[in-house]
Amino acid sequence: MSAAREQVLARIRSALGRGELGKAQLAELRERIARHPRQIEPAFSEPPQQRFRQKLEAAEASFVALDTLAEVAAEVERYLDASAAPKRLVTSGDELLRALEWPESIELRVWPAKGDDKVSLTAAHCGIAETGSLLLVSGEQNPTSLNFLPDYHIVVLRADQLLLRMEDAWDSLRASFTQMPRTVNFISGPSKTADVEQTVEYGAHGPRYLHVILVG
Amino acid sequence: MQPHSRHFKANAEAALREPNLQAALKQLELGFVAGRQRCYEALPEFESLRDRAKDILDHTLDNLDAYLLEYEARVIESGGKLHWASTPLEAREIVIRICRDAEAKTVIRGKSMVGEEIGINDALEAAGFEVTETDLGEYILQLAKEPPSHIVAPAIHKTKDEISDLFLEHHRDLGFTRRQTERSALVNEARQVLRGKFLAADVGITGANFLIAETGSNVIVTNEGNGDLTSTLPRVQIVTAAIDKVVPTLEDASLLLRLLARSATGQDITAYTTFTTGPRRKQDADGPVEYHVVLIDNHRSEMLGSELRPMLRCIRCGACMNHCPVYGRIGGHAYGWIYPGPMGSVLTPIMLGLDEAGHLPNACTLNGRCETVCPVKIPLPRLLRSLRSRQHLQRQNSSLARVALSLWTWVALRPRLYQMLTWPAMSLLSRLGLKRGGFRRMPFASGWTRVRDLPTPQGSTFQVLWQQQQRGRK
Repeated sequence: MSAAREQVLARIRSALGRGELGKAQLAELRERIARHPRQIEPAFSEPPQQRFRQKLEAAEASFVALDTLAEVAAEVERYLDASAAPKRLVTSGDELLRALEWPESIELRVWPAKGDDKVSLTAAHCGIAETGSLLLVSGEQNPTSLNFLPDYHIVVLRADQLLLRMEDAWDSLRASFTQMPRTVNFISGPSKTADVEQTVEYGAHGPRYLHVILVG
Repeated sequence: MQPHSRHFKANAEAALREPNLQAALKQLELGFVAGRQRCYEALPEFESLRDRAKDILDHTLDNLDAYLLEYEARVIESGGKLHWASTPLEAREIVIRICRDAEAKTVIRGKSMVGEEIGINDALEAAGFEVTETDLGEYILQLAKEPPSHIVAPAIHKTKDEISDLFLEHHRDLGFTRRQTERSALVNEARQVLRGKFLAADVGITGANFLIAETGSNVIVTNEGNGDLTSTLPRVQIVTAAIDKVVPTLEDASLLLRLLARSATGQDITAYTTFTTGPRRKQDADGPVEYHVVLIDNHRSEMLGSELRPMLRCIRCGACMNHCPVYGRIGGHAYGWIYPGPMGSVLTPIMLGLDEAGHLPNACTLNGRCETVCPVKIPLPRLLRSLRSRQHLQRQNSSLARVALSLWTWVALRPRLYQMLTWPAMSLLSRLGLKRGGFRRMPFASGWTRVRDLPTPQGSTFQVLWQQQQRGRK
């Protein structure tokens, strides 16, 4: 289909009333990409953690802040008990999660998720205060399906990973990876739909419940 | 779908008599319109975001060929394949070839307007594939065999009762024998049925809200998470996207994302915003092994070279239709194709021709609400007027209208004659109507008076008032 490629490009150039861009102009565009200038970033006055929590809770996610990682396992058990959810977890192989110690009452399996897994536990790359979003990236230890297949999605985030805006997340990704990970998910609440009579229902295709544990 | 935009007038009259549709449209005002307003008031930067969005997109369009080539290079670098298509037919052929090469049987779709535009579902089904829409609204419409009536909320015209019937009819054989009447039960039933489809599908086809030249990523924004399951579970992913979806950088996309959900549904951000780049990496735990992008022109390069270029900034939020008094009364189906409301009244005549869609640019009162709310400042009323001019120049309006317009132009260019003709008419009407306050019938103007009164002129003409005011100033 390279014929179509040449045709489309030729039509675009003729519509713009010019030929191919010159070297200098192309260099300018590539420089803009390399510089990726930040655009307008709306101000907010609340402390980031407060805003993060408010936005998540407004989107019907639940939130808890813990002092240390050692408390995570107990919090997960408390949450599953309170939700009457099965104590069988499928988790990612993230370093942060591997370091946790689990009571015998909780059954753990490391990914991948299957269609009938009820609870997943993953770690976020970072959080975003502006929108109350978690950023999860795919990778060797982080299958994307864990974020979407189970009914309950529990996400652990360290407080020092809470950033202000999406643009800060881009900088963080650029610093952590040489190439964009295959999948970058911004998750800002449980799955929902308003396709039946414009009324919101939770649990459309993805998790029905999102529980965020902020540590530190 | 088979377009029926040429029957706009009949479609619109029928829509006005649909009580369910009218109730749904009223709800739109309370939901999306009020939601956008709340977002607007909560974000002091909203107007400057709109200005910047316009600048970024204009810059991208000015350099569209270069940014598309940058994007292409990054897609290939990340292991994906890029296919170019001039026409919907070419795009359909490419998609079918990819599915055949992959020896696929089942295909799942994430909601995409460009997919509707190229008619991908019908083509895939005709080629023998089993296709399932996974966005709940689109799925409902697939069962009902209807086109979307809104670009963001496609099944807005469907009532819960109708959905209950549809599900019972189509899910009975799958073991769902009870007619569900609660919304939550309906959503849950669809979740269970579609979960099976997700897990079994060979190919997932999604659209793209944006394409990123910097990284070769496609962006998908959803609340349901269906786009993500579609992009993750099948072994082959195909992204169908139009050439006007590309933006230079992740930062540029971030700015546009701040406007998109706010303008569309009145959310700061949707539940899921996902950037997907190429197929799964060697070490990745899951994801498709093949990643294809089909880049579609379909008259967009032609728009780029015309006065309609600003239309290519459109980010498909639907705010223009949510705020349109015409759409608000007749809904989306009356427009006769997949793009309704103000944006559809510009796009449909370009994509299907003025012969088919000539009514649409005229189904507008030029009140300007759409332009006021458009997050990327598309001057929709001006574009609709320019399509009307094209109709006039191409002699596509009625000969009576052409004669009347020529006559009016001739008179209007002669101010004295204009005054000589309008003054007596005005003062006659003024005297006749003074007592009644308005006219319920008027010769030669039944088109107006059949559905509303003509107000009585208030005793003077604009020209006279203007002259008096100018004299007063001196």
